[in-house]
Amino acid sequence: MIVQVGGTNGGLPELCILEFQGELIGEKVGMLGSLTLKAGEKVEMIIGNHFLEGSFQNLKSPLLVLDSNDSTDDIAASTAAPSLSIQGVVRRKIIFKTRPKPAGKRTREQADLL
Amino acid sequence: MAEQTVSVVFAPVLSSSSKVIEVTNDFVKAIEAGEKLVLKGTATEEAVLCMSNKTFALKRVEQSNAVFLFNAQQDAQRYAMHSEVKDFFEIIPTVGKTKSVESLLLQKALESASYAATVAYLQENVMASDAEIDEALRRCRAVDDDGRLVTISFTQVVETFEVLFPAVLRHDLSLAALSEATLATHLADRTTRAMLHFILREIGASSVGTEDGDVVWTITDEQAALCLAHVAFLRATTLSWEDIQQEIAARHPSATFSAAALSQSLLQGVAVALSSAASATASLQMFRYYPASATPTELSRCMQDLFAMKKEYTAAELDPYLARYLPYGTSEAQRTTKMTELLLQVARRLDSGLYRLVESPTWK
Repeated sequence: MIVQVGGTNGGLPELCILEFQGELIGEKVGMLGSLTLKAGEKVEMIIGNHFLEGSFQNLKSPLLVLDSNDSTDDIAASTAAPSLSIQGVVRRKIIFKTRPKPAGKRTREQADLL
Repeated sequence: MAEQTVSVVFAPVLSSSSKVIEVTNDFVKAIEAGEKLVLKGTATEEAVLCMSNKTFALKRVEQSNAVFLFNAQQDAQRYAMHSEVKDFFEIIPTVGKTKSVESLLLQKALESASYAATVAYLQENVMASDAEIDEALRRCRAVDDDGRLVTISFTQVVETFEVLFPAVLRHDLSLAALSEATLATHLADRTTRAMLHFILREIGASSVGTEDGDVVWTITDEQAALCLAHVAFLRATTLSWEDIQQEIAARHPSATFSAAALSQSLLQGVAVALSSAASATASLQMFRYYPASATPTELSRCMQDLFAMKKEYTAAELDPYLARYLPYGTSEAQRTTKMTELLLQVARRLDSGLYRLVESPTWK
């Protein structure tokens, strides 16, 4: 089987990754939380009652992101040859490596302000 | 830098079909310069990712973290995560699997006399880049003749040489400016224009396209002599150097050509000198026909054939035969090292500098 990967003219969109050690349980809809960008590439995030500390990291090698070009039309989807398109390239990620801590009252209030 | 707080939301439609592939900066630059990618795979073979001239194996990487993608440049106040990534891969440069090209061509020919393989068919079924497939087609002398791939046997190539130079003489053509269209007309009963084009390109003749779609070729005296050396062996598989020179001189269309000025090195990769240079006078040196362009596809069989003709060879004698087995994409810088590696799989170097077949070669 052969799958064409749609090219791009010029520069690729720069995407970023948000990475959590572990699993996000729950419906992945709407608001997830608030992210505070601090000095020295550090970040803090509040998700519900959880407080996470993380940082920006530059990736050693870029990541190419591909996604399928699925048609919303059932007939077109069933007859078209499978294809992918290049969505962008990732060179940086935000990673949370430590265990979540309980979010204190002050941090919860900060999240509520958003 | 002042602290900044952004909200992180899930996009209305969260994709779970994104695939993330770890690549190199050069890879990204090639994509941004317009390089196209193709994913190829079969039920029995692992997928490969192909650029126009490179093939990469894809290796799935296990990842247990929750990973989401967002575009930070779209909105500085709000990061909308549009994809959850579950499939991670890394690429490993590899050599395309072109060994199947010859068998696929044969299979198609056997399936139906009226249906031959096409380049598109091979691009879909061979796990290799287009450039690697083109090189494989060149090596098995397959020509795109009016949309169908047709293989030319080496015998057909030599038979074309046999009629080409008399046609040049008969029609008063010039080796320095040969019109492909005109030549094809004169040789129409022996070859097609597509095959003629392939053969002239393979002998190394230079060419220039014309506005009316013709191609004008320049064949040097030495290139013509090389072709005629092959023709000389049509009458016998073993000839003396003197016989070969006479055959070339009798057929060469150039008035200024002198066979006496030819060096025996012309025959490297064409025929094997049966005795060492020191033991035979030059004109009486005997050569046995063994063209590198028609050796078996396995290196082991080729080496067995060569060492059955004589016990020891110089590296220069073996090089044209080894070159055929170099992997696609071997650079000039790597060529010598790779050739030596191939040679030492099957032969050992003597103190004299000559090579002899090892007793139990490790065929790879």
